[in-house]
Amino acid sequence: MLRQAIDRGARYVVQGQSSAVAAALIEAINRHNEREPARAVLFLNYAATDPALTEARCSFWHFRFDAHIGMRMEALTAHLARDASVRRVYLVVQDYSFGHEFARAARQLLAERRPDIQVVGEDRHPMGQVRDFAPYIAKIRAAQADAVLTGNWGNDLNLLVKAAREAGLQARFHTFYAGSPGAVPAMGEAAVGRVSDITDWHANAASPATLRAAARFRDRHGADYHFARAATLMRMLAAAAQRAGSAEPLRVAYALEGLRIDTDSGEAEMRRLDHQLLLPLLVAGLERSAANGGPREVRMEAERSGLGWRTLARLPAYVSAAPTACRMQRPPPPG
Amino acid sequence: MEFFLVQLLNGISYGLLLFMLSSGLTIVFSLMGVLNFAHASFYMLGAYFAYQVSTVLGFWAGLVVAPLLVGLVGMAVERYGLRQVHKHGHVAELLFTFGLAYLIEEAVHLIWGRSALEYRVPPELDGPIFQIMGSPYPMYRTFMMLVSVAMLVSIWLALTRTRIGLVIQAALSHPETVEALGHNVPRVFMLVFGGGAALAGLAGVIGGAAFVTDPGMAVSVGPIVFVIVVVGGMGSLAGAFVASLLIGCLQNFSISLDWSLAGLFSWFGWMVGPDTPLWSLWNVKLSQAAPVLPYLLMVLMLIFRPKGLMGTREG
Repeated sequence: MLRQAIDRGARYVVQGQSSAVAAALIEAINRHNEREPARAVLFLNYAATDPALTEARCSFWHFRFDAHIGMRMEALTAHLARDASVRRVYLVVQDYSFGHEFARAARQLLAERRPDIQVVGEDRHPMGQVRDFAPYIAKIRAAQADAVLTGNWGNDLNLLVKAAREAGLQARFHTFYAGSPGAVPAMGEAAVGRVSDITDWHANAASPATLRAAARFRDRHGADYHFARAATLMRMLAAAAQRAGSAEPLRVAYALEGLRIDTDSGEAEMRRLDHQLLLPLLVAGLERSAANGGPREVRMEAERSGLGWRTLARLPAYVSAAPTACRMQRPPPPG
Repeated sequence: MEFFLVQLLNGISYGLLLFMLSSGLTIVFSLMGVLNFAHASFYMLGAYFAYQVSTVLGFWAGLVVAPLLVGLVGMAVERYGLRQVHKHGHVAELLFTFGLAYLIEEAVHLIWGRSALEYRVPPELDGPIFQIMGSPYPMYRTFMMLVSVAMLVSIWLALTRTRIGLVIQAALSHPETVEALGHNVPRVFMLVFGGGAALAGLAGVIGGAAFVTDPGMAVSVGPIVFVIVVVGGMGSLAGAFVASLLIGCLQNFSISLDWSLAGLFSWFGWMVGPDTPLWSLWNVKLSQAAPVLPYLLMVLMLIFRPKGLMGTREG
């Protein structure tokens, strides 16, 4: 498919599905660019979040516009570190590479930032298999945890949150994926005041211009606008092309390096070292929308669910800027 | 103690839901000899029908109407599908129900889409019903248990104390005689199959609201239902009941236990650490392995007692 696109003259690839796909794309594009530097291709990634893509596998030809897992965990633990009421933390993850990485990073960063916080339990459960989370919730309650960190997504997140409400568990759930499409309506009322999400953007933290774009998007596609960072990507691409005075991928890539841009959540910068966007992150909590009796600032609902996100904390880009071990090979700069 | 009681209740209620799921399968198998691979699909249909009905008439109407609709679908499947395939033997029946499961799943995709529906517990059943030493226990789970027990009692009464139950049992062992006495045996089979589907549908109504209603729900419960039927003994209703409770409790309690082989070794004074060969195996906690345990139980059961806990027929 990549071959076909390149043969047809495509010089930019924009992709954001799985990290495995992104890794394969990076390999293929590296090889292509080495063979045909005159027709080099640039890969702009807006969602694949495996840290390795800007570390061990980092490439000059790949730019990432989303915060990777390590950065989100930096942000989450920095937020928890400020909350003195959190003393006992419980980890619930899906039993596969991402879940394991989530738990490892959580333990390490919590130990660095707040050694007094105790990790009172960790559960790894098979992905997408568990229907009944009640026994896990009973365990969390018995461990007297006051915060739950979970990397779960999809049904594993929805069912976990629903079970917590059924059992009247008071602990707050800190997630990475409660903001993804479909999650809020599926969790519903059970998530109010119970679920927080680490995100780069949500509709109630949007600028008027983005809100207008979101309204147009909804009119055209009938769905919520989720990927503000896709717009950030396009704006940065345009700015870089302008700065380079060319649409040539090599020149644009050099122009992207170090480029700064204002997003709805604050200033972001493309790090030269590993081509990772350093972007401000938000801790958002789910509340009833203003129209549904919630706080006034929750004007926009998520997917007509009667619930919406409210910013609990803003974390400027430096908070989540994780160090990198990337050593990329750089092609000679254009003359 | 509080933790133990809560986990026990969780285990029993989950087990009772599993029983609702597997009872239809085991009845159909014991009376008709048909192993219905599409059984879990009827469970899914129950949830979707109930959702559809509940959007217009509310949850309670869905609770009654949806299982009946699923029963009708089941009867139609028996009358126009299974009966035609029956003369080609058991393998053909098996393949037929296997294909049917895929068909139903695709139909659900086409009609309701791929994402989860907002099918919820009704407000009357939402909230805690009592406290176990400070932990609230949800009303809906209690409701789930009541429905399941009511179902067990009424199936048992229907099969042993009513005329139609008598005919069904007779038709199983002596179909020709029953036919000669003027009963319509094919119709009895159709009713039995429809009844089995309706039971799965009822489980779907309850389970869909408690957990999630999405096109993946059939696939996710399919295997465990077969485990229960095998462990309980093919075709034994009482066996399925005991096996359901056993597996529900087994899963709940093993999730609670963070034991690992590494812990066991250190108890004997052997030091096992990340450098030991096969560390990733020794370090697996029981809670992590919990979802696999029912399958392990099934394999052990097949090796040591192939007819199951209360099964009567071999193989």
